[in-house]
This record gives sequence, C-alpha cells and structure tokens, in this order.
Amino acid sequence: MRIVLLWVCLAAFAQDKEDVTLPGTAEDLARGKKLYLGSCTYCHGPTGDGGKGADLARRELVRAKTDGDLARIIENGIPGTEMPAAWHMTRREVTQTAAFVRSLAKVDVRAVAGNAVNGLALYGKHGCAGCHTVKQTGGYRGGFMGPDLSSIGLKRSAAHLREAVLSPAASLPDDFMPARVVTKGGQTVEGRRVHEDTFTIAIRDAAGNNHSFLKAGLQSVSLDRNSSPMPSYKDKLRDTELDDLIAYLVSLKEPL
Amino acid sequence: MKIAAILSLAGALSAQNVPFQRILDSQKEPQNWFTYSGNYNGQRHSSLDLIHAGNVKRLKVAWVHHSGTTESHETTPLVVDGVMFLTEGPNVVKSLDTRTGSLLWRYERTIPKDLRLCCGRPNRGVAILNDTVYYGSIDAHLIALDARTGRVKWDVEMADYKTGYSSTVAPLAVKDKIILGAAGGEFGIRGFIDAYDAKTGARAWRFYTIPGPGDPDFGTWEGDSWKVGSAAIWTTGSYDPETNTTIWGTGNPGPDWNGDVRKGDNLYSCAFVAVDVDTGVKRWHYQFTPHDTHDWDATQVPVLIDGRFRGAPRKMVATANRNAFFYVLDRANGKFLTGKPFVKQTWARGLDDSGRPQVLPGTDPTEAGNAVWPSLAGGTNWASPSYSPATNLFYVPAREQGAFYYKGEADYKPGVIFNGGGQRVVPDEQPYGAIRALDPETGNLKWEFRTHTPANVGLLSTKGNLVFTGSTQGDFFALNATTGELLWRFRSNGGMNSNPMTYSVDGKQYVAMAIARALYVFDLME
Repeated sequence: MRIVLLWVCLAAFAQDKEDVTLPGTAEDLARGKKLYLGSCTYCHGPTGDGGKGADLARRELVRAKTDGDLARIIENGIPGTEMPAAWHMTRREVTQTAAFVRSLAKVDVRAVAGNAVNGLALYGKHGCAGCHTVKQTGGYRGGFMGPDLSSIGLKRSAAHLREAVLSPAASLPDDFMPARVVTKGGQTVEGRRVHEDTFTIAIRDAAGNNHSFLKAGLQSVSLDRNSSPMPSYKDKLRDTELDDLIAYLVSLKEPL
Repeated sequence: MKIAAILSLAGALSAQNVPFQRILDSQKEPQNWFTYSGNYNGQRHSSLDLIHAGNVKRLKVAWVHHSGTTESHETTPLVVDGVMFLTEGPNVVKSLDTRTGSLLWRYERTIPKDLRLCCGRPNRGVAILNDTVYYGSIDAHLIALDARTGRVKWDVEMADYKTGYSSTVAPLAVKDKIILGAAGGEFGIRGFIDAYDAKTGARAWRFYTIPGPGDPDFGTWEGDSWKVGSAAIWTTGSYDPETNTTIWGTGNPGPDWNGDVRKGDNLYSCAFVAVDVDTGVKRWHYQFTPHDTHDWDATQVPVLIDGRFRGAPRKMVATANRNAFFYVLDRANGKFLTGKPFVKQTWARGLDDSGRPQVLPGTDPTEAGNAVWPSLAGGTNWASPSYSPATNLFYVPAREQGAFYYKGEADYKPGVIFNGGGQRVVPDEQPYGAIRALDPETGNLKWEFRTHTPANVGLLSTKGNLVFTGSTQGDFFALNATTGELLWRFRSNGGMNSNPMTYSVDGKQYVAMAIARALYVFDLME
C-alpha cells in the first residue's frame, strides 16, 4: 500500500514538471469566461473572489504558482477537497479557463506610486497597529480588532486598499461583523464576532480577549455591518501620504 | 449479564423477519422503524411517547457509534426488534445493537475510483424486507444483504456509473419489490424509478422520469434535450396502499441553470409522480416548477395526510417544495388543492388556480448574475419534513436566503458535469433559518423557531408532543410540537445533514441522530 502511494507521488511529481502555455487571444479569454461561468462560479464566484471555494482574484494562487499547476488543478481537481476535476473540459478548454482565471487577479501589478518606508512610519503614527496585526521579525505585532494584514499585498489590489482606508464601512471583509452585547447584569462587550449560532455568540474585543455568551443570558445583541470600527482616513492623510501608506500595505506579502 | 443480553439479542436477530404486512402495519409496532420515513406515509412521526414534553429535559447521550469513514452522515437508521441497520458514505452498511451501538456486522463495497459525482458521496439508508437488507450503492448498483450477516445475496447494476449515474437514496420495500431511483442530476442522465424483485434482483419495471416518444407527455423538451434532461431521484418516495401507488419527488432538469437548450416545461422534472406499484405505469404527475432554471429539485419526501380539506374528508399529499411554496394535492389524482409560500420568494407572482406558478419576467439566471429568492438550496432542501396527526401540523425546516444565479454554457458529454451556470450568495444578506409549523389545510404559519443559519436538518415529530431537529452548526434540539417552545438541546459542535428517528427496546425509548461522522443515540436519564 505504501509502495503504491509512493508511486503515485512520483507520478504526480513528474507531471508537475510539464510546462503549460496559456492561450491569450480575446476569443480564448471569452471562451474561458463562459466555461468559468458554467463550472466554477458556484464555488468561486463570477469574479473569482471566492465563497465556498478559494479566492482566485489575486495574482499569486497558493496552490497554483505556475500556469501548469493551475491547469492541472482544473483538470484533475484537488484530492481531499471539494474541488472537483473538470471532467467535461478538453485540454484546450482547461487552458482557456485557466487563462480566464489568471485574468481575474485583482492585485494591481503596476508599481504603486508611494514610498513604503514612509508608509510604515504613517502606519505607526496613525495607530493602525492598535487594531491590525502584521507579522514581523519576532512574531505577530498589533491589535486584534481588525483583519490581519500580514499578507494583504497578496490578497487585495492597491485600489481596493485605498478604498478601504478612505471608506472602511464600504469594504468590510465578508467575515467581519462588528458586535456589541449587553448582558442581563448590565455588562457591555464590544468587538468583532468570532462565532454565532442559534444559542450562543462569541466576541473578540480590541485587546484580543474572547468573550463567549449564551444568548439566553443577554439583554441585547447588536450587529451592524453598515458601520466599521475603523475611522476614515480621508481627511487625515495628504494624497502623497495615502500613496505611501498604500505602498506599505501592498508590500506586505507574508506567504499564505 | 452483558454477555447474556447479547446472546439473547443474537437469538432475536436470527428469528428476525419483516414481511410486507409488518411494514404496512407499522403503526402497530412503534418500537420499530421499518422504512426510511418510519412509515409508508412519509410523515416521520412516531407514536412513541415515553419521551415527552414533560421529561425531555432529562434526555442524554446513551451511546455514540463512530463511522470511521470520511463522509458526513446522511443516513436514517432502520430498527427491527432491537437491531439497527444504517449506512455510512461512501460505501458501508452496518448492523448494530440498538442498546449499545455495538457492531453486529459491517459490509463494505469496493467502489470505482473514477466515480462522477456532484455533491459528495453520501448515502441515506437502507430498506428491509423479510430477512434481507437492500442498499443502493454510490456506483448505481442495488445490493441485497443478508440481514443477519451482511453477506451479499445478489447485486444488480441499475445503470452505468461512467455515464453519471449514482445512487444515494434509501430504497423503498413494497410488496415483493424494492423501489429506488438513480441520482446524477448534474450529469445529464435520463432519470428513472426502478422496481426490482426482492428475491432475485430481476428488474420488474422502470419508469422514466422523462417521458419518451409515444408518451402523451412527450414533447415538453426542445429537440433531443429530453435524452439528457436529468430529473434524478435521490430521496425516498411514499406509498399509498389504498391506491397502490408510490409517489416520488423528481430532481431538476439538466443543465441546471441554462434553460435555453431545453425549452418547454421539461416534464417530469421538479414534480411528484405517482406510479402503480405492480406495473410502473404512471397514474398522475404534478409539476411544481415547470422549466426550472434554479435547481429546485422536488426531492422532498411526499407526506400523505388523511384529513379534512374545506370541511370534507380528503386524502392528500402535502409538501413544502424547494421553490418556496407549500402545496397540498389530492393524492388520488394529483389535483392541486392549495399552495402558498412558506419562505421569501421573488420569482413568481403566485400560483394560478391549477397551481402553476405565475413566473415573473427577468428571474432566470443570466451571465451577469440575477438575484432571486430562494437560493439554489431552496426554501427547504431534501431534509425530511414531518406531520403530526396529534397536532395536525406540518413541520418544515425552512431556509431564508437568496442567491445570484448565473447562466453558463453546458455542452453535454457522457459522464461529465452538465450544469450550465451556478450561484453565489447575496453579499451582506444575513441568511437565517426556521423550523416552521404550518396548517396543512391553508399553509398558514402556526409557529416558528428561528435558527441562526438556514435550516437543513430533518424533522421527527412524536406523540410525546415533541419535534426533534438540529442545526447545521451542531445543535440537536427538541421543541414543543404545539407551541414551538425550545425544551431541550444538545451541543455537538458537529455538522448535521440528516434526519432524526426514534425507536424503543426493552421498554425504553431512544432518539437517534447522525451527527458529523457518528451516530448519536439519546435516552432519558434514570
């Protein structure tokens, strides 16, 4: 049994070396889009920004560093996950789909105007680390309220990050839910929701402490996705400073 | 003492025999659970009342049986005279001691590695008739197993798995026949309901869920699209002894979200079909969603109710459909009696006098995406509803959620996915669920119990004035069947994707529920 498994691994390794060139004509991309809409949107969303399946709208895909990897994943699926093999596609259709997937990348590959070193200073000056974590030498540093930014440069485009800094409530991550509960004893706890079901809710506060409650013991539960605990930096940063801050965020590329 | 108990059990098993008459008269033996829904009427209601609204707070885990497989459980166990039979996806059937969960036998089928499946490798249970257990395998075979040993008696291929056929449904044993159908609704199969001779495995009849040339209902599919129109079977039907018909819900037409290539009503997809048990000849059909483009399978267990409708006694079949409407039909002829939405829906103005939906323009999937309620998973899905004759209420796990529907290309090739689009969640919608109790005569809501996530777990009602169900987030709980009040809950922290059932042995009632990859069985604390 073990020998069989080893053989399978060797076979996969050999296959991994195969180079694949993705087609690039407008017709190929259009066909790839149709194939993608037909087979991939259920899990990955029509613009590739994920859902049940992985977020494909980024330049670097963790499991598909090369175009060959991407084509093989589409063709064979990912064993042990819900990613099925695309039995229905010819090799050419697989590469057309892969070409379209590559075109979904939201991460802006153009150079960002600002200066990342200045941006780091602004990140500190404006207290971003009070809520956001970034992995640095020696471990994770920063607060717990906002999303971890260690790999944000791999996940989001500069344009998206700019919007998030200027209008935080307009670009809340899907899993981010500001929450506030008041217990029957009068205690108030605010933070981000980390779990909720029919009977319980758990909240992580700004200091990183987890609070878990039975709903039956609460006076009120307030959830509001229309607001963000993060303030807008619209009037706090000059245009060049905003460029610098975005340049710093785009530079954060801790491997996923 | 323990050894003696097991020995006596073994004796009971060897004497075990479940002729058709016992299943027919199952109301006389509430300690047993002979068939998928507990009874031929699909009510998933038990007349056991040792556990009741007054003492359910004392319910605790009696035993747990872990599956050892990687698939989530979708099984409803059967119980016969102290012995349990259940399935575990992808390929296992087991027999257990109902008092302890101890293994009596285990059958494992070797399945092909190149199976074409859309949605995991589940199985929903077995049927039993006389001394034989019947199992529909994921590679579309029907297999007869000796109820005492699990040894294979016979094995027949229903259809070729290489062209997309599979089987996940618990078969239905009626008279001398084993009835089941094939799954594969995302692979362009031509759906069917089959009946096999219980003794030999010889096929007695096949009813195609898509009529062919010469049939009066032929011609509701454009061109040759009927040949690959799906209408799969994947939840168990009901049986009406008075009319000798078996009623089954059929799945979506294929390709799921692109209706352009199959213009027409697409009979008998998304429908109930009533078929003569002896001949396989159709008596009637009722299509809930003509020309479906949202994947709203009608694969909900048909619930047979003998009651009153508008003042007169009536034999009815009720269902809460995935398309968001609750329906009551006359089960002698399939005539529409009443229907109304039980969750939010935005695709139809309503139902006309014949029950046909008045579809709103602009609600089909598009390449750019089109938001419609309910979502692909529907107003309810395959999880069993329940009807309690004691409360005269129809209980349904309800889903309040919409979706953006997308249309894509789909070229049919044998054995390959044929869905033509997809869906995605509506951003910023906070979907939720509810257990809803409906008046079966009107569809009016009597009470609801809200759940944080859309409900997807089956329901069991009991004479103890209880409704048992669970949440997708791992709570198994009991509600007061009359008021919906929460009476008891058990936190498993494991997903649930199955239906509860109940049985009794040695004068003690148990409630069983498959949770994540284990079967949990509960009884009262002494």
